Amino acid sequence: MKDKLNKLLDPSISKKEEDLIFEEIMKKKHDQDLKTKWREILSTKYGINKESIILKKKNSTSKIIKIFLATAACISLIVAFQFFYNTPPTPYTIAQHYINNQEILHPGASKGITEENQNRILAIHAFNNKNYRQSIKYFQNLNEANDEDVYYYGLALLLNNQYPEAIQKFESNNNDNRFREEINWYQSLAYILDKQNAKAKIVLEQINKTDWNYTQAQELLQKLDSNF
Amino acid sequence: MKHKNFGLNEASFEKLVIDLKKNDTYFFEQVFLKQFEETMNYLRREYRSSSEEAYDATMDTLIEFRTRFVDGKLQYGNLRFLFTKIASQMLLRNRKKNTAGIDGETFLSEDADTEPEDLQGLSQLNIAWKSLGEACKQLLTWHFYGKMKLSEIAEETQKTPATIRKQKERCVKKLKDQFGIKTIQSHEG
Repeated sequence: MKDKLNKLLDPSISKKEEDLIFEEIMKKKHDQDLKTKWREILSTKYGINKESIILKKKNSTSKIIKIFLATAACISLIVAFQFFYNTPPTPYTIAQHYINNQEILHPGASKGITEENQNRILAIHAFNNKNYRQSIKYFQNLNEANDEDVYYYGLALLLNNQYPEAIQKFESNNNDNRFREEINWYQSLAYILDKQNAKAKIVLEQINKTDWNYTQAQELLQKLDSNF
Repeated sequence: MKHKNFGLNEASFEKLVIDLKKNDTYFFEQVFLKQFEETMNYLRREYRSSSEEAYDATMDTLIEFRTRFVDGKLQYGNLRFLFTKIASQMLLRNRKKNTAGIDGETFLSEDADTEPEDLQGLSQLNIAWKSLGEACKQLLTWHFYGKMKLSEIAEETQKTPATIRKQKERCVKKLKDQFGIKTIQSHEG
């Protein structure tokens, strides 16, 4: 970029060349400004923080700090629950908290599909509008449900408080499902909400260290153990 | 259709483009920053990417999308699908760049990342930029970053194209003069 700036000082530069360089350097400047601005918004408004992600990565090698963070997270969770409900959190209330406080949206139909089933489109639309009852109806009418359909069908049942049906749907998934990590997590929450804590423990124990929501799974396991 | 376009209808799509050309990103942020976490999750799930990789790729996708909007390269249709596709390619491009140092995929426009050697130039530009008045900043931003024609800017600001053309020349000269001063100072320093 420095070369470009120096080039601008060349008295023999043409207007066209000058415009092209300005376009390029202005893009670099403003793109950088936007990234800075958006990092700030993502951090403050959406709680997505690059620094904390890097920190988390670095900390993965440090066992002591990792334990400290996990403990701090547990304490903050407990304090938050006590603050809001003034009662000690149970696995049931923690599971409810996870379900109620996480916005779950369907990302849209998978790529590569040329003729999308009308029911699938309607199911996704209803799901993202939080009309889970309607979404379930459309999922039921799907001719050929793929892995993604089964996962979101199960989620719709769970979010519609139909825990036994959600469990049944999650259990019907095979182990090769590419949503296996997500299914393990939500299936365990469904078990807890359906008062089947023993089964929840079995599924939570299957969540590996590298899996999604491992830390939360460990917290729930601890809570389940202390409530047995 | 609106779902495929992040809730945008055709009219709001047009408004988004007009806003971005004037570097007004408020509406764009309302629509696209909401997709950030969802896109990160998609990249982590589909490509087993780390959170950091997913964050960078999604951020690069936002920048790429803004560029495509102002370049008129995006059509109202299936923005959601395209956003996911570009995010995937950004991830793969970044991985490739980090491992082999090879330039980006042909599908993507020129790499918008800031290399370390660019930082000094950017800093120089930022200092010079501060010396400009608000009218100059707006004109140069709309024209060079928002890809607005001088005639469009003239219409928008209710001035004649000749006035705007002259104003642009003066603003460019002022910026170049500042570069010259800073360059001499840095050579002397």
